[in-house]
Amino acid sequence: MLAQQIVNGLLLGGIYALVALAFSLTIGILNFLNFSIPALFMLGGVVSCAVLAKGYPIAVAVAAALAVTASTSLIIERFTFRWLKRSDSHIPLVSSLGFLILLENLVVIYFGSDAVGYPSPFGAASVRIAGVLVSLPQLASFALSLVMIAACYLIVTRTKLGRGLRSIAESPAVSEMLGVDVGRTVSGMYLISGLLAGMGGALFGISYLQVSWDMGSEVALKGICAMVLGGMGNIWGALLGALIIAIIEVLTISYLSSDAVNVVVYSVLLALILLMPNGLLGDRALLVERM
Amino acid sequence: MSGYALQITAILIVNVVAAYAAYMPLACGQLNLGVAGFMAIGAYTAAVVSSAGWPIFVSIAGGAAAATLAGLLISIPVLRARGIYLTIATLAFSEIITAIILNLPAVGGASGFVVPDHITVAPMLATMAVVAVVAIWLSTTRFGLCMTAVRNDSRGTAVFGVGTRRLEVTALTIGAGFAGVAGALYAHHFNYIEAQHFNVLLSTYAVLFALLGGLQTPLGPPIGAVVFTLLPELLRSTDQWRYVGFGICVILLMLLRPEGLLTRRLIRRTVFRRAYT
Amino acid sequence: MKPMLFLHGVTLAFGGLSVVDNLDIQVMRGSRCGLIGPNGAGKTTIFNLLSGIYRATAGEILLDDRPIDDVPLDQRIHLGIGRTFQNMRLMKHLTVLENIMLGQHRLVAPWRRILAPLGSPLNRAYRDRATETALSLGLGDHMQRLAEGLSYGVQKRIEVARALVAKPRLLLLDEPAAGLNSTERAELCNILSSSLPPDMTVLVVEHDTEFVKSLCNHAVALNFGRKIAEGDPAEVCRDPIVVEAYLGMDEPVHPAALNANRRRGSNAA
Repeated sequence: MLAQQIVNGLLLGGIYALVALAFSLTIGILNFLNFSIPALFMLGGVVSCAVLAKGYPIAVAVAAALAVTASTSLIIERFTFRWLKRSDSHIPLVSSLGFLILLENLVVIYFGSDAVGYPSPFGAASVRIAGVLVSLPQLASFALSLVMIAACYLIVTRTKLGRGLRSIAESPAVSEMLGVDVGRTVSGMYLISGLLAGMGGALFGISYLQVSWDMGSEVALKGICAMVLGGMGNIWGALLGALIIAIIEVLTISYLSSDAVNVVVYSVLLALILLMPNGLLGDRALLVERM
Repeated sequence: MSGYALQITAILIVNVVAAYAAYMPLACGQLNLGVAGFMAIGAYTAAVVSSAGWPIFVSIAGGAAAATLAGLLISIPVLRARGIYLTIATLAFSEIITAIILNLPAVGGASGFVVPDHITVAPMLATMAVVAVVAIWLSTTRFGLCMTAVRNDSRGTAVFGVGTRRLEVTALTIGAGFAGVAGALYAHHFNYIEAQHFNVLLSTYAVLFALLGGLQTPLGPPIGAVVFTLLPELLRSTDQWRYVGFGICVILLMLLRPEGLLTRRLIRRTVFRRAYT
Repeated sequence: MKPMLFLHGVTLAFGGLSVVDNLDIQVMRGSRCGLIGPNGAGKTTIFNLLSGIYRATAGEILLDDRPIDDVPLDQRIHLGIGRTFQNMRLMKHLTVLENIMLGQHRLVAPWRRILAPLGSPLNRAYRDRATETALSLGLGDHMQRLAEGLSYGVQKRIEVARALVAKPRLLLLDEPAAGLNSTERAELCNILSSSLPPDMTVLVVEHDTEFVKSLCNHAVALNFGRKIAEGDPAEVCRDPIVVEAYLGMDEPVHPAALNANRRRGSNAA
């Protein structure tokens, strides 16, 4: 039933939004597509799954997952960002691809290549609201995603770190001259994306009760599409884009097939870029090229 | 030559040509993550032409032509997008191609396509040599000069009257043609193709070979392909550890020598041996 | 006699800020005209308007009586407008000679020249001309060196060579002496005086008034996007309005301006 599909979609969208936001902030502020974000997403799911399997409570599992993804993200920064100061922008992107390959294969080695059931304590509890079945874990995931997105928004707009981030987005060189601690601010950016992606992965596990080594790549595509839809660097745009993509996904599964999902999403993405490259809500202000 | 060595050489040849395919747009500053899509077009076209009874050189030419045409058609609209949007658009395009092929029962769909007519390593080498010669020759011309200039500073090049958009479209189209050749060679040597093979990872490797080898000269891509195809073989461990090693290599190279293995400066120092400041 | 270049009421405004305000400048063919003024006066902006990077919000620019405002950036060179950049845009992965040959691009007509190797006989004429231009700017020792890593003074000369080789009718030199010490500056001034063809119209943006006085036969002084003086370079530099414009500004010290101020100070006494 359509309403049911839409509700499912919206709840799914929350998770995509976290990934979309991580991508979007990294492009908006550091100007590169960070392919290690899907890897961190996967780590969030896999680590929380492993911790739960050992019998620890869910809070500990999620905390462990976040700790792992945040620290991995900072390690990635250590081995990448410093060289952003050169003008070759493909360097951090390629480097992040290297991390993606590294992390995915490490996970295959240690956890195997099969999908693993996620021992969530919530199971598949659900409640009926206005005739629609709402999964409680998914609802909780959605709520938690909203909280994280709102927190991001507040950090970017209200805190010193946020001012630093926005300043670097305009011009790293000028920021440095103005006294922004570029090193720490960028680390802050990596930390935030690590937390967003990791939480997304853990919530995915809780919602879909399954994790695997390639769960990152699937969501990455949709996250990127959501980001382009909502406008790169646009925080609430990432949420809007993610919700739209998730709804497109569930509708495609209902009316076409689950195989068609990727084609449809990629086609939407391609059409978007060719027709409306600034997204629905508009790009962040592009740097004026100084001649 | 042992069967194993032949196998590796065949893979290496395909990788070299794929690296050139990624190199052409990269040398102009465009990151094309859709190489696999063009390889798929080349492979499937060659397979279909070959199944219709045509000899191998016709099917390879057909694959290259189809991929070149596709490259032209897609690069004109896609190159209106810039930077990251371009990369994402090429990625999307490639995945759409694979998905379309997956759903075409005429070419086997998900079960793949058996390709008649086998090509041995020697003619593959010859084809690779042709591609290399074309790429090297282009780089010695004014076209190559402009490619480097556009990569270094696109706006600054336009000031001198260079049609940068036309140059980028041409480079991407030629790259697509090379990818078509790579796909056709793959199809005829392994005699079996499936759409799932032509995925993002394949595009990524092509791009990485070109980048890691070095974009400043047309000798960089084959060096990157050779080093990073043979290195995992030397390590001889399981698939996963091989990729872990590859990932680490990528990270280290981007950290320590992001301009790639072969640079113009390096050539000058070793070949000319004069002290350049 | 009609001016070759005529900026007629040209204004460039970003929002409420006029970077260039109702400018009227005429440059005669073959003249060497210096544009002087403090930082932010709009000098480089004029160059950006001329080379097509910006489009004027009001007024028009006429080159040989033809308005050029509608001509896109990559077509301006075909009008015969060549320029150098203040923050140099040399291609770091090309050699000095290759950088200069890039400048010739508009002269390379037939397709086969674009598809023929640069070292082949088909391109001999272009190579020779590029070499000639390089030598006239004293770059003989550097021709096969990669542009990145060369000294600042040498890079400046490569920039000029690259603009010169396309045989422009109007050459725009954007602060050619900036960052050079006094010896290098005198050397560059001599080289330019001898290598610039007499029939080439040259516009020079410069802080160094000695440089302008040696190289140019006409000067226009700007401040806050408006013309404040015009005429013989020596007289313009002595003009009290111009002196005040330079001395009265709180700005980060530009080494060339500092030298100029010191010298000017003794003149104005």
